[in-house]
Amino acid sequence: MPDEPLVLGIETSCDETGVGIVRGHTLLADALASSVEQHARFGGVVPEVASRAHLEAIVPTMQRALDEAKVTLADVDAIAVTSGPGLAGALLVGVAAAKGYALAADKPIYGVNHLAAHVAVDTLEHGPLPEPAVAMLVSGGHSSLLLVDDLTNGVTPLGATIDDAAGEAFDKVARLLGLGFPGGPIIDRTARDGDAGSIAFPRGLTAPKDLAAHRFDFSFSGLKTAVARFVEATERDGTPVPVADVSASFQEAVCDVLTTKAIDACLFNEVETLVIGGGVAANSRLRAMVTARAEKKGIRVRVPRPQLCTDNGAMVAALGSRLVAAGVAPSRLDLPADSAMPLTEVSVAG
Amino acid sequence: MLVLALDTATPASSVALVKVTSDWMEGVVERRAVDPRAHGETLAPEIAEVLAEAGVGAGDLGAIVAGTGPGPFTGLRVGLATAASMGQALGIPTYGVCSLDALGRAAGPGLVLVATDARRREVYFATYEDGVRTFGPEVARPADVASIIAARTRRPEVVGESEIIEAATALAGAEGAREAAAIARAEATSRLRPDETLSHEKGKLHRGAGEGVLKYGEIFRLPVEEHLLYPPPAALVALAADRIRAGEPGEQLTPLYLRRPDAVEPAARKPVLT
Ligand SMILES: [Zn+2]
Repeated sequence: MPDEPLVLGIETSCDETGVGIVRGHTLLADALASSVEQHARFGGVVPEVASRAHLEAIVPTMQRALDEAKVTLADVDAIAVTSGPGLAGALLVGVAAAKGYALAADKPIYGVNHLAAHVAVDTLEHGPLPEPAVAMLVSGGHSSLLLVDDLTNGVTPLGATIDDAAGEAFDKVARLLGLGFPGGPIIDRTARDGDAGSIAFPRGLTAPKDLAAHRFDFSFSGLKTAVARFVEATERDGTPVPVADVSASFQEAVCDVLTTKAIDACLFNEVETLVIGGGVAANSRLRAMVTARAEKKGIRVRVPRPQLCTDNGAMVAALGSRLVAAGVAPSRLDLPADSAMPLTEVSVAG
Repeated sequence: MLVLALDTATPASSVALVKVTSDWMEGVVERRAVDPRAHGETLAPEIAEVLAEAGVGAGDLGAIVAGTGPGPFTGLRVGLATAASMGQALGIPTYGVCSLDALGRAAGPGLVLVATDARRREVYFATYEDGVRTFGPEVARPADVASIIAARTRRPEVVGESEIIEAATALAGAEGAREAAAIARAEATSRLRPDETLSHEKGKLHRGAGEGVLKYGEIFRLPVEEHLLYPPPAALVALAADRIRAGEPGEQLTPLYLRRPDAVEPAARKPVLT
């Protein structure tokens, strides 16, 4: 439909520079530049390195997105940009650039919440999100369960990690096993040759005593330590570390906890739709496990394709499109980059 | 041609609109906000304000000039990202100019030390003779600046009288700049004993510019004129005037990064047993 809003989204909260363009729920362009290789030797994202890369990448990435969508900035109805949460210096580059585009092209600007954008991106693949829904966002920077009543109006946090993020656990275990960075895709691949039931790793915050206070929270640091202990004990015995079995068993433990808590959150809130986003949502075992177990409980699972699960500009554009359609007022030109933007704030108030 | 100039390399976020003709330039509107942590919030509204005050739209701009630092990276990138995105959206060239050069140029005739706060008890600095950079930019502890300059100063480029006057006219008019320089020089000689001044290959530095000279006044002991604390955006335009007039293609705006990112490669893994 030509009268649906044409919205451009800019994402720079971590190590991906993304520019996406959507019309309504239709994805027109999703251009991405990543600095992931520059961080590999440090075993994690280095904020200053990420910020430098964003500044270099923003203009060419914007050009690719406009070319791909065959539109100009003058055609766009609004510009959305990730305002937070994320790395402060990285966010600032995207926010400053978005303001420059908005000023030059005289367009309204929306500073949006990165986590809400992870939920919104699914609408590009599966259409309007039935609300209320439960969203599980799992990545290197966040692990949260949210109740989504009205995405344009705010979401209710149900639980989050109390230590490491799920993706962080993948990175740390991959490093422990000498597999490289980022850990998620490597462990996913390595685990395919392993036996997921061979080592019994702990499931954090699932014991009855923990559930009272942390029913929908996660903890992955104990799991990471258990893997480290297993690897060291094996090395001490002089036997080779069964890398594939460790990967598969570790991955099984993470996916089991995520799946169990996500389904419990749906049942507890009497919600029939579960949407999953974030880089860890690209994990093949998680996708299979959640889908199979949710089906038995009558819960529909929506997971966008892997490219849309990781950070990108399309998700920001998708949320911007929802905000424009809902008649939400745009942000002002002095909108801040807020590295700790709360989930209750879907967009920066105008 | 209407040129937008901006600088975010220091605690100041400065914006100016400058009219550049084939043989003249004049400032139209200027804005400055001093808050080292707020560039991301203040810069865009400042730009909108100067455009509104001049009664023009962004579409009336013919070029953008941005200070490329050196300066604390986070704030500096705000200016460059804004300038680059505006340039791209408007299809106009963007030019980068060293922010310290704007101070050196605005300081006018004489031997001048420009120093800005680099945080971590260091300064970004450079020296100028009659508005032309003779050393730097570098980053160092204030106490080491004098010895670094003494050890490494290269012969300054010869500058013609006409260029000096042009440098000054672009800002305050030749007479005004000359007067300011004379006053500052007299002040410097009356207040400082010769052995207290920083040495320079061709003599002693007369004056300082940049808030770093003021912040570490106990060490530098150079007079700083109040209007020379932060890079004046109009001076950026003066420094890019030749390129603007010649219609040279713009350039990608890259900060002058004088420091490497703080990042350490991880050491061998720490045992968790024991
Ligand atoms: Zn994310």
